[in-house]
Amino acid sequence: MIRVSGISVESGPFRLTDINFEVPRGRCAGLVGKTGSGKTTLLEALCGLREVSSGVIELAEQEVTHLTPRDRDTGYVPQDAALFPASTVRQHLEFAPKLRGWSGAEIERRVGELSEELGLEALLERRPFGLSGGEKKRVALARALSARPSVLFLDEPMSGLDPDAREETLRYFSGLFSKTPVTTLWVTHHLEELGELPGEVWELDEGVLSLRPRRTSPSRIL
Amino acid sequence: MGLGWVYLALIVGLIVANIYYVAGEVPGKERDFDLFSPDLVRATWLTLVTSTVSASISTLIAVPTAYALSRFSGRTSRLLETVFDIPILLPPLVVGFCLLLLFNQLPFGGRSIDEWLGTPVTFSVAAIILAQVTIGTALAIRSMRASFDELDPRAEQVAQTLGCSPFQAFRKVALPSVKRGVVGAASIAWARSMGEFGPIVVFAGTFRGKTEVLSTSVYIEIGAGRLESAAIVALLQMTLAMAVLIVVRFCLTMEKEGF
Repeated sequence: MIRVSGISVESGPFRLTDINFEVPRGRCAGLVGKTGSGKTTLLEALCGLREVSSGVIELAEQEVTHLTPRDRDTGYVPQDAALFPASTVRQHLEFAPKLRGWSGAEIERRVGELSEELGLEALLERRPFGLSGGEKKRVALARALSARPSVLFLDEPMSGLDPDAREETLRYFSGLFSKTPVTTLWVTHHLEELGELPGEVWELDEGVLSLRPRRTSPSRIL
Repeated sequence: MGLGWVYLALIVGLIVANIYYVAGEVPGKERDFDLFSPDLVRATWLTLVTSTVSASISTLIAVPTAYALSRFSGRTSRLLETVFDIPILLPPLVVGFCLLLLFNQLPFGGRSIDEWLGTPVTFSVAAIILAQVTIGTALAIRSMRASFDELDPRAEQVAQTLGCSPFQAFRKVALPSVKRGVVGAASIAWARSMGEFGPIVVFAGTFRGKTEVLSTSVYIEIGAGRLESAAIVALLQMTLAMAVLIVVRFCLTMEKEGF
């Protein structure tokens, strides 16, 4: 569950004021808005990468408003994937489980699961340099999910992908989510990306958040 | 690019002139230079040891400092950056003179630093290292800063959401990503330390058999009018510096190609 109650975030002259919304456990909500509307700022605040000046953030029934990013149990996929330049794909997938002290066998099993579900088996020993845009997004998603976080934040996961790569990446994403639902906030400025999401869609416009009316249909993505 | 070729010709000219003077038939040249004299062997070892120690210290200081400067931009950061550039901007001789004043003249509770230490730093091997570190670190910080600036801080932020503390994000994500930059900064600091002269002459002195390094050997030999000796020492210094830098570059290339 993601519950945001009256939070305000400042980023230079830009302000997000009195933001309220809730994403029920295991659901995927969309957050749309134009470029510069504050979507990434909000996401960073939820991840703990940006201080909030007021309000309360609850993730998975725990108040995390003033916790550091490492203590929030989140998975975060930034817009540019932000892979670790010196690490192989395998090392990306092992990163969070190792930090949490998982055993070697558990880590190996998890790397196997994720690489199979996201089509990364052939890429495990490669470094980010030379991976395609879609492959990078899949690695970033696998890395975010590797330690089974309570909530997942996706910042424009389809941006910069050509239609074929977008289709392929969506297919992998939807396959993974349908197997293991995780509470997700999916940020985008292309509403069509969220067309068949089962959850609600929120719109952020000049720092103000509102529920956007939309059709709801059976999920293709999730 | 045309001017680049001219510059290249100048560098090659420096090397050729040195080799010619050592190997060629130059009128009036003395022939009694002993390449394995105890003084020269000691100066060579002292140069290699002090340069390596200084480059290590410079790199250890430069990496976290440059990272902090790169990640925390603000008025204080800009001011600190200017301060860290001072050793590069000052004439090397002035750096040495200021070190001399700092350790010998500036009173702390009525005594100079040298007096506090009991064993004076001035005119010792420690003074050579301190002089080399003072300038080498400033260059290493500049070099490392450029490497960290090129690295997207977003990766370190993601690492924090995955369970890292800010320090772990630096150690596990940022540092491995700038491995080549670290080697580059260490090489720059090492090469500069190897060739350092001005601050060493003033702060450590040119005592044969005590604080003589190769750069000061050249100075001593020129002062005594023994040009062939000076040319041979210069050639030795050039060869050592180039050998080390070629090895470093070779290792970097091998690492890049996955060996």
